[in-house]
Amino acid sequence: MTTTVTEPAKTLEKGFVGQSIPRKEDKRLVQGQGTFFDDVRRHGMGYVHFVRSPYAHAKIVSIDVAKALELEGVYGTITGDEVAIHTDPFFEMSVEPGGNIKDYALAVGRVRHMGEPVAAVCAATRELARDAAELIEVVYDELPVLVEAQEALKDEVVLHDDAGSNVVWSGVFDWGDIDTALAGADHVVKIDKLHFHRFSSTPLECAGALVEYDKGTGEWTLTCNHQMPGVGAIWMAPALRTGIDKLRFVTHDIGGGFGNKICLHPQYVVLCLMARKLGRPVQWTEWRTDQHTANAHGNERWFLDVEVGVMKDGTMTGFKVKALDDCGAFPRYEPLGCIIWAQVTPGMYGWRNIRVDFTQVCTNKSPVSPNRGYSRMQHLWLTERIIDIVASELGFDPVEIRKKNYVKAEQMPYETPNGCVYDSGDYSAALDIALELIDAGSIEERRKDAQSRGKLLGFGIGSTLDSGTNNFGQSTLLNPELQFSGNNEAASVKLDIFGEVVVTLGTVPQGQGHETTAAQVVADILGCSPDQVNVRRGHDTWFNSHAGFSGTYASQFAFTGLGAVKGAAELVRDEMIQLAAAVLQAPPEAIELSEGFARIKDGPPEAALPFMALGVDHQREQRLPAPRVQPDPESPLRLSPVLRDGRHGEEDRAADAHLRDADPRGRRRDRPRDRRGGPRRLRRGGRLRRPDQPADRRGPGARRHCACDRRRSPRGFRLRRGRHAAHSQLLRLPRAPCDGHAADQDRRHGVAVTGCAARREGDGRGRRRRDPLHLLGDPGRPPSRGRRHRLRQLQPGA
Amino acid sequence: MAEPVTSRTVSLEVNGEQIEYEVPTRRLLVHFLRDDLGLTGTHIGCDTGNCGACTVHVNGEAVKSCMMLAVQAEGTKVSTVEGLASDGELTALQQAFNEHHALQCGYCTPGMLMSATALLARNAHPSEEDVRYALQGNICRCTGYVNIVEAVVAVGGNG
Repeated sequence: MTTTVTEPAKTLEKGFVGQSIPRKEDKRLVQGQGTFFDDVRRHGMGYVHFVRSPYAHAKIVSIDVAKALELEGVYGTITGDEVAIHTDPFFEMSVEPGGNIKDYALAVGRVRHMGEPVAAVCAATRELARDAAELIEVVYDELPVLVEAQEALKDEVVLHDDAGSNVVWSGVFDWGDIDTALAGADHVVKIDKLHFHRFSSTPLECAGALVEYDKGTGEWTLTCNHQMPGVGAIWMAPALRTGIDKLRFVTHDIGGGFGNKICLHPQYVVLCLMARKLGRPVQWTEWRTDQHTANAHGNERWFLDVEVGVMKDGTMTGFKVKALDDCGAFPRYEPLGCIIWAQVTPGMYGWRNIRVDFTQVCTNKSPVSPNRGYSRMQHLWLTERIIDIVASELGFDPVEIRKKNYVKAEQMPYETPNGCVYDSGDYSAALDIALELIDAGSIEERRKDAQSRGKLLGFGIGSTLDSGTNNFGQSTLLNPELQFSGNNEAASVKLDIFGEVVVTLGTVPQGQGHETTAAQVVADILGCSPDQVNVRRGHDTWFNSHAGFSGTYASQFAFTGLGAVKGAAELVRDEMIQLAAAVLQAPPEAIELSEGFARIKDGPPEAALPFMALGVDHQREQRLPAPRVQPDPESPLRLSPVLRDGRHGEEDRAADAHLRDADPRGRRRDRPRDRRGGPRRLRRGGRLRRPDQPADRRGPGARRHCACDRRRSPRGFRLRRGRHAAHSQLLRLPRAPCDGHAADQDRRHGVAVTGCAARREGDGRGRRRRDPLHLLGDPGRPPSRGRRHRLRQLQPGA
Repeated sequence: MAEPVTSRTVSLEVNGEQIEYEVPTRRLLVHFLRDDLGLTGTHIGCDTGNCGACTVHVNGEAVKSCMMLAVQAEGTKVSTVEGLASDGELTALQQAFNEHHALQCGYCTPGMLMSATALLARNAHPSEEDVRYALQGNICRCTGYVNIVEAVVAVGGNG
C-alpha cells in the first residue's frame, strides 16, 4: 500500500476565514431585493408554456397547433418536428449502446416519460400561454410502458430504437480478490435485493430562463438559473449548431439548485429556438407540478445478489454486488453516475475485496440528473445496509461492528482498494461523539416511553464520507473517447481605480453564500475587510472569468472555486506589494498589506498607501503600452514600472501625468498643471511626428540612451518628484529634506520612505528644518547617479 | 348571456401607497404584485398554495397571495416584504434572520418574514412551538428550519 505524506493540519492564522461573519447577501434578500431570473423583464417578451405528454410511453401521431395560433396574443409555437430540423440531438457520454440514443430538446415522434415536453407555445402573458397550450391538439398512440429496471434488461420493450437496447452502459469494477475472500470467510451473508428509490431534491425556486437572441451576432443571452453553465453550454451549443461562444449565461440570485438545475439544456434549447424564431425575448418559468413530474430526479438503484464475507470476530473481508441503475427515459448527465460512486468505493470501511457489476438502463420515467450526493449517496447507503444486515443476521452490535470495520485513525492516510486516498479521520471517535449527542444510552428507555404514547422510536446509524469537488477525469472510465479531464474553476480579483476590490466568480451560487465566503478569503489575502470586497452576484459568461466545468455542484466551490479565488487574490496581492514597494521605495518583502493599506513593516505609520493610491497606480501601469515595458520574469507584475533604458522616458512622464490628473489633491492652484505628459504620449503614438523624426529630441548615436531629452527640465527628475508629490500629498507623508531625488538618498541608507514630502510640512522652500524620521542621512544634495541607476531601485529585490 | 367580465379596476393600498389598476379578473394577487406592480420580493414556489413563498399581509393578516385573485384584494391594505424595512432600516426580524443565518438562497425568506411578522404582531413573545406552528405553511429547502425558528424566537425575547 502506498501512502501519501501529509503535513500536519495548519492552524488558521487570525483573520476573517474561520470566523462567522454576517452574510453579505442577506441585506438584499431579507428586503425582497434579490434578483431571481423570474424577476427580470424585457420589453415585448413572451411567456412560454410547454405542452407535456400525459403518457409515459406513446407514439406521437399528430400535433395540431392551428387553434392555439388563432388565439389573440399568441406569438408562436414550436413542435418536435421543428426541433428535429433545426437542432441536432444532444451528445451522449456513453459508449454504445447508450451512445446511440437520440435525445432532442422536444419529443420527436415518440414520448418516453410522463411530462415530456412535446410542444412549446409563446404568448403575451403567462395565462394566455397556458390557454394556448390547452388548444394544441396532440394525438398519441400508447405504447407498452417500462417502469422496472429489471424488466428493462429483458429488452422486450425498447425505448430507443437507435440504441437497440435499454442498457445505457455496463461495466465490472473488480478490486482485490472477492472470490478468494468469500471462500475464506467464516460466514457469507447474502442479500437478495436492495432498492434505493427515486427522489428529487426540489429547490424552492423552479427552473426557468429569459432568453434573448441577437440577430446581428447570432448570440443568445440566457438570464437563467442553470447551476452549471460551463457544461450546459457544452450540451447546448452543438445541438444548436453553434459555438459555445454564442451562448451567454447570466445568473443573479438562484433559489436553490441541489442538482435539479443541471439538466435544463433541453428546455433552454427550445427557448433559444423560440427566441430566434419569434425575434423577441422569451421567458419560461417551470410550474411546480411540472418540476415534480418531469424535472430531473435522483438516480434510482437496485442492488442485487449481494454477498459479504464476514469473519467470526465481525471483520468483513469484502463484498460483491450487481448494481442496476435506472436513469429514466434519457441518460443526459448519465452514465456518469455509473462511475462517480467509485470515489467512495469502500465507504468508511476497510474492505479490501470488492466487485461491483454495474449496469444502467432506461425506463419510462423522468430523466435523472446529479442530485445532491450524486451516485455516492446510493452506494454509501448500500455499505450501511450491508453493515446493518450483517449485524442483524450474525448478532453483532451495529455500533461495535462499525467500529471494528471502520478504517482506523492510525491507518491514515489510507489508500482504498481502488486507489483513492483518505487523508485523515477518526471514524470511531466521530461515531462516539454522534452517539453522545443523541444520548444513545437512553434509547431503550425512550423507546418504552414512546411506546406508552403509541409511538415507535427508530434508531439507525448512517456513516458516510464524501469526496470534495468533482473530477471529470473519471468519465474516461466509461468512455475513453470523452474529452473531459479533471476539473477546473476560475475567479478574478481586481483592484479598481479608487481602490475597490472586485471579485467575479466562475461558480454559480444558489444560496451557498459565495459572496461572503469569497470576500473572507480575499480580505485575508489583501489585508482589508470583507466589507471592502465586492463579490459580484452570480455568473456571467461574458464578464466573469469561468472555465469549462464552471458551476456550483459536487462541492465545487469550497475546494475548486475558492482555490481559484485564493489564487487570483494572491496574484493581485503580489502586484500590490510590488507597486507599494516601488512607490514607498522599499524591498517587496518589507511591504505588508493590512487594514486596507500597504505599509512598510515596522516602518513609520505614515509610510502607508491606501488601496486607492495603489488602484490609481495599478490602473496607470495597465495603460502603459505593453511591448515597450518589459515585465520582469521574476515578478508577477505584468507591467513593471522599471525603465529599461532612456528611450522610454515618455512613458515615465505619461504615467506621471495620469497620476497627477487622477488625484486632484496633487494639483496646485498657483502653478499650471503638468500637461507635458499628454501631448508626448500622443506624439509617441506616431500621430504628430513623421516616421523619420525621433520620438524625442535627443540626437542619434550609441550613447543616445545617456543623453537627456532637451525638452525636459534640466533637473532631470523633476517629473518624478511630481509623481511622488501626488502620493505624498494624498498620504500626508513628510517630505525629505533635500533638493534631489529623495528616494535615491533613502536607498543609500538602506531605508525606504516615500520619495517626496509635502512642502508645507517643511519650511515652505523645499527644505526641512529637521529630520522628523531620523531615517535620512546627509541632507545635502546627492550626487547625480543617472536615471538607470535610480530606477533600478524600483526592481524587486534591488 | 352577457359576456363575462374579463378585466376590472381594483383599488387597494400596497405598502402604504394607494393604487388603482385595471387587471384581468383571473389574475392572481401574486402575479399582480410581481408582474404589474414590479414588487418582485414576493416569490412563487409552487402552484398549489403549499410553499408560502408568496405570503403577504392583507389587512394585517398573513395570506398566500397565490391563493387569492387580485380583484379580491379590492379595498384592502396589502403589505409585502418590500414594505417591512423603512428607509433601509431593517426590522428586528430581518436583522435576526441575518444574525441567525436563517436564510441561504433567500427564496422562501420573504414569505417566512411575512408569516413571522404577522405572528409577532399578535404574539410578541412566541415560544418555539408557536413559531413552528405559525411557520408551518412556509417551506424552506435550504436551512432545515432550525435557524429560522431561532431567529423568530430571538426577536420575541424567548430565545
